[in-house]
Amino acid sequence: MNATTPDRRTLGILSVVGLAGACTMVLELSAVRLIAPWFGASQGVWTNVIGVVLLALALGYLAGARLAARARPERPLGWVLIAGALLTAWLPWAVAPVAAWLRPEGVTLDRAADLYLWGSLAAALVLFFPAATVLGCVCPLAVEIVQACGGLHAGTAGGRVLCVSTLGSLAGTFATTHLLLPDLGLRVTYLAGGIVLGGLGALVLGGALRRAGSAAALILVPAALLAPDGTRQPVGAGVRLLESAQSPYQALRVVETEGEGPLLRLLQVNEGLGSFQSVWQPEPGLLPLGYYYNAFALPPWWARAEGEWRLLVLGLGGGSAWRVVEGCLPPGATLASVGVEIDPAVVDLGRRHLDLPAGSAARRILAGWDARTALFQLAGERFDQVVLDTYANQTEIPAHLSSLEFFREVRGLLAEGGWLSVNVGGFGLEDPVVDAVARTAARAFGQRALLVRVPFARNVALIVRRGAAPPEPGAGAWLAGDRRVDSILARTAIPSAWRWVEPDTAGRVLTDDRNPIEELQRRSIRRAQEPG
Amino acid sequence: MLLAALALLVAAPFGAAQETGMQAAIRLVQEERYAQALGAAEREVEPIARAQGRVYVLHQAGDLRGALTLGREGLRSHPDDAWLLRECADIALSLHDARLGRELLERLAATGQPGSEAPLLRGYLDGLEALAQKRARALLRARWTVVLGLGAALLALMALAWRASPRP
Repeated sequence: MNATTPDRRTLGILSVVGLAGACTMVLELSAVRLIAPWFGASQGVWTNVIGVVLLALALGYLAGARLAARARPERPLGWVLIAGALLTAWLPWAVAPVAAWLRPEGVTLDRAADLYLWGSLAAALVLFFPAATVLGCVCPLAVEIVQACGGLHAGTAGGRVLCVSTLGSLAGTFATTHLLLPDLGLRVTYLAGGIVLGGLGALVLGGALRRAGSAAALILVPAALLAPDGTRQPVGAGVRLLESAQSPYQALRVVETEGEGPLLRLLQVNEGLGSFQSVWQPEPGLLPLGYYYNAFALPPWWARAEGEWRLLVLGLGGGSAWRVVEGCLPPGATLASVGVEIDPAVVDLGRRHLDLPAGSAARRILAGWDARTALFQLAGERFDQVVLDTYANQTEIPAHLSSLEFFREVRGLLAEGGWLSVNVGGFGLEDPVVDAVARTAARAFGQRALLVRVPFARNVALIVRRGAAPPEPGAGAWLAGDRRVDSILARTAIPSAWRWVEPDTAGRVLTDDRNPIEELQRRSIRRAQEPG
Repeated sequence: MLLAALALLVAAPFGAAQETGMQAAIRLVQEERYAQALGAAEREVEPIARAQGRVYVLHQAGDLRGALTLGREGLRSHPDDAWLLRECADIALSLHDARLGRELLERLAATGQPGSEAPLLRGYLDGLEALAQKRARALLRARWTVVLGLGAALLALMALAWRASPRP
């Protein structure tokens, strides 16, 4: 054995370790995206997936250590990589049957609260545990080889392997979020991960196995690419798919209703649980009863708006709030609006399918901005109304967009007498989430907040003003004098449809430091499941 | 809702002067004056008509939970009222509460009144219950998968950690 051979082998093994580390992060970061159509992407689901991967890696480290005690650790390393390749590449096709086995189609959110937590944990165990366990074997095997090749101390070999593995994971993390998922999609990302691992395994094993591996790849890769995409749920009856996409944040699709009902287009994210992010109808204006967007159109009427109505929409989506408010402004009022949307792919789909304007002085779009950071960008501007539409389902309310500090920053952007309209999903006016968010907003504004039940929906509209209170439901200033708007307002004037929340109401407010919104959401769903 | 509409039609020839609270509530709902309709329903002297009127108005206004709460209150004092039973069953099923929907539909059938079989609502209930059963089975599967999967993983961890191979 000459002096250079060990170094070359060491470098080769370290390269394998780095690429395997990258593939591990591809597996982990894409995992939630893969199961999100069935179980959502809430913090609970992320916790389950990360927990399962960590447990699998722990087991893999011990299993790898056992394998490393054999005479030629290169062989188990090669087979481990081949197994990792197969267990990674099969995931896009395995997810649909596994997830459908664990979460039946048609189950609504209020009946699926325990199911999406248990189901996502079970799905993670079935789908990701085997692959992550096998990939966990790589590092101990590599440490053994590197140590033997270079005659190094165990600590030196282990340190080098862990360093390269972590750097590979780092590269895999950024590549998955910013490159692979948006550009290649889930299916090809997992397939690419499988090909890389399979190639590494064949290289490590060498000889006849390398040729066998190449032949298998020639057959399997085209077959996998031609196979039907198992990562998407079917669109269901009564709608047709217009376009689907993957973004760094979520799976997206636009569907259009078919049949006798009104023509609507829905922008859906992580298609599970039957929710939608934006809705479009051919004419701007109020949507059919039951759509919460209609509540955003009320403040200009209460304010008897004339001239320019300056509107900021946080969570623009495909522009539903714009179309509803614009199509329903009081006579003499015009809309000047800024829309903030964190996901640029949503804006692109909105422009192609939902008549979202390309952007102009009267319709500014801040795409790729988080709502909270956008408030700093907009500092110095004043708005007549801020619409907050960033709470998804009952399980995905961002803590930093429901805190006292956040609502104070929103207040700072409002003109005196300006309005904040928030869409909050909840099960009634006393819902724990609704109650906490309303109390926090009222405290931040120093004004009483009004909760209004959206007719025929489980959404609640939260309305609070800077320096004034919203009109008293049912009082003279409540009705707008417009038939379309009053059809909604009259329905919400009955006593059981609204509730005041005073700024000095006892109870915890949500802050940046302490925001138990996840616990409140669980309590809300449990409460809704209680009999009676 | 159907009975309420019939009541309005029957009462129409007698003129507005003899309009009952329920009839006024129905008229006001048609005029989209829900708060006034609720007030009119609450002025109804007959307790059962008052309960029916309040439920009808809230249901039409889109306050399903409020309507169900009032309807169940009315059913405590009038447990065999077919109109309230049907309306509450309809709302309970709209809210996907299959357990309550079944209870109300069984009570409705027991009244033996015309239309008490409510085949449409029963069909919807069957669908909801089938879904609930699928959900319960899926939850059981998920829990067993978690218990078995985590149990096996922990056992494997302990076995591997316990029996480490010494370097030869």
